Amino acid sequence: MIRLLWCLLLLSVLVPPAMAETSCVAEFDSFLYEFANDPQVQRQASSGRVLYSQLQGLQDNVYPLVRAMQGAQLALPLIAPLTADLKGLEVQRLTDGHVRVLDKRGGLDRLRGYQFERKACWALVSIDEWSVDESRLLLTGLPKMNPAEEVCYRKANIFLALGGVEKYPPTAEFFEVGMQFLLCAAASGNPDASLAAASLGYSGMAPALSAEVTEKLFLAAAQSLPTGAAALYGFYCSGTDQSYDGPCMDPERARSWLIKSIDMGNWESLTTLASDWESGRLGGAIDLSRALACYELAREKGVVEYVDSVKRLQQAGAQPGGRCY
Amino acid sequence: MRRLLAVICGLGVAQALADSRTFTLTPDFSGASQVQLTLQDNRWQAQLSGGDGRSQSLADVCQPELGQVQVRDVFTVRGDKDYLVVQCAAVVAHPGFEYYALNGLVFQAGVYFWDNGALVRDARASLALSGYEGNMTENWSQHHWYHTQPLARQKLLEQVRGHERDSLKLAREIVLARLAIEDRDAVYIYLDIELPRLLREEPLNAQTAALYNDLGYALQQGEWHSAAYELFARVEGVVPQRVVLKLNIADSLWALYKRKQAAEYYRSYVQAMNSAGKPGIIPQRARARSQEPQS
Repeated sequence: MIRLLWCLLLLSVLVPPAMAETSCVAEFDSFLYEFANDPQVQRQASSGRVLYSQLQGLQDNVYPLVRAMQGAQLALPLIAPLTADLKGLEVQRLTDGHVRVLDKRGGLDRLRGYQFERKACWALVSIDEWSVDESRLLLTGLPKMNPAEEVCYRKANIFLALGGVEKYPPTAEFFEVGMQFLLCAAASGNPDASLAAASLGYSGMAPALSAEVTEKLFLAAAQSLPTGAAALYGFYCSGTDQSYDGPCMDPERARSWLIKSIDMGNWESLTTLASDWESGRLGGAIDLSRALACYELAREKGVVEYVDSVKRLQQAGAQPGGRCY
Repeated sequence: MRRLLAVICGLGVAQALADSRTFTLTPDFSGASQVQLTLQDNRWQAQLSGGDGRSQSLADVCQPELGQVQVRDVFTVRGDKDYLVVQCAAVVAHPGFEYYALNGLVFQAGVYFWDNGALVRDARASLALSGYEGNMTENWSQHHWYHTQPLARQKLLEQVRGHERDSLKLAREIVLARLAIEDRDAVYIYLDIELPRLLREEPLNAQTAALYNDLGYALQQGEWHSAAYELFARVEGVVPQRVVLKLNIADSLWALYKRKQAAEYYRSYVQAMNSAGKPGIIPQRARARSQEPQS
């Protein structure tokens, strides 16, 4: 053991480490520039084991599969060449010797993550590739959607599923690109894509949409989807601000879409309408008898019973047998 | 001077790191009944030997790694031809990434067969049996499903028959193996990915119902009750009279706090077991819970 230690010590003094013969840039940004622009540096930095993840599977079950690769197995270039600045790259310095880079230059649907660790020199530890190409899509043809829009819709669903589990590093980017693809899928008015896009705008996970775009999407959805009509009621009452708690902004249009959603079979909207008659939120007089009639109708339609609300309204003098709307 | 030092120290290092393992091959690998693996300079060399005194060497059976790579197992598989499988593993540890902590094990497999008197490495099969198990980030964990000899053996047999994806039978073995080591998350993760595909490729019917029931059982034992119930309900649609399924459904409903519904299934199970003349093996919980009020 002592002999071994002596030899290792002697070797460390007399034999420079193999990596020391190459340029071994300590400052990370400079290293990254060399790495991106010189395949030789890429090969040196990935000379050991690199964990390489790539999406596998089809449509509803696309997932990343990680493989341990020897650097020589990886096809060059590992990254697109870099111009003078780091535009399109997100560089996250985790410690002095650990950096994560997210490359967005190929677009949010072609993200690549890189992790580097510095020991003697900077070394590439892992690459995460998040590209979704058409081989991952199950294209079956969808009503009110042209082929290009269907590609967008299927891709949106994959990215939103990847984001939805909230365990992969680019979760925010997945929601953002999911929104982009949903908007593309909704371009010619597909109701499902329109409703999904408008709803995602409220989620806080993807960038919020303007009121104009949100209204247009909900209108497209509300023509055939009862839940779309109900969502449009919410939009006309509260706008795009989820925290809005004031009076209904446009009670007339809101009420008409709420009633339309009921007529289309969305019985859950009956309880919303009941609540609005009771509170007067939709403008005009408070009408407890109408509110009671809405709860009774909801019960008839199989919506979960609102026993307490019915009791409260009866005690407040609501008359049975009225019309909900 | 440098060369001299390398020779002197190289010997010392080699001696210090030398390691050796011997595996008996049953069945034999085209006559070879034993394989000896020797580690030198972090590279494993294999020596195959048979009863007739012949021997064959095999270099670099495990790829050299940053850390020391260990040989886990060597065994033979009889498929369309004889295969020799060498399973190795190396530790991955990059704790400095914190949230992005990369910690785990790299599993490397080498699959070999004889071709015109030469030992050939089957690259595709080797890749299929290799993988990484560990963390990529705090929440993102990756699994390698063929880490034991029986799982690797079956995966290889399916692979050489041209089946890239796991069969229903292999899926059952994988989840039961994970259940045996109480890796509940792995059971869910595997089935979350694979179950939709399995149901497409090997549809639920009277022949496959028992295997799907077992997948549901694995989910249930892993305490994924909602997913288990969903699968059991589908199995019930195909084999409603299957007695053990009634108990499984009852247990899932009970765990989901649907006690009245559960009691109906417990009663149905107890009745079926009594009718079959097997009252002695009815679990006590089934008797007790079947007494739950009906309305």
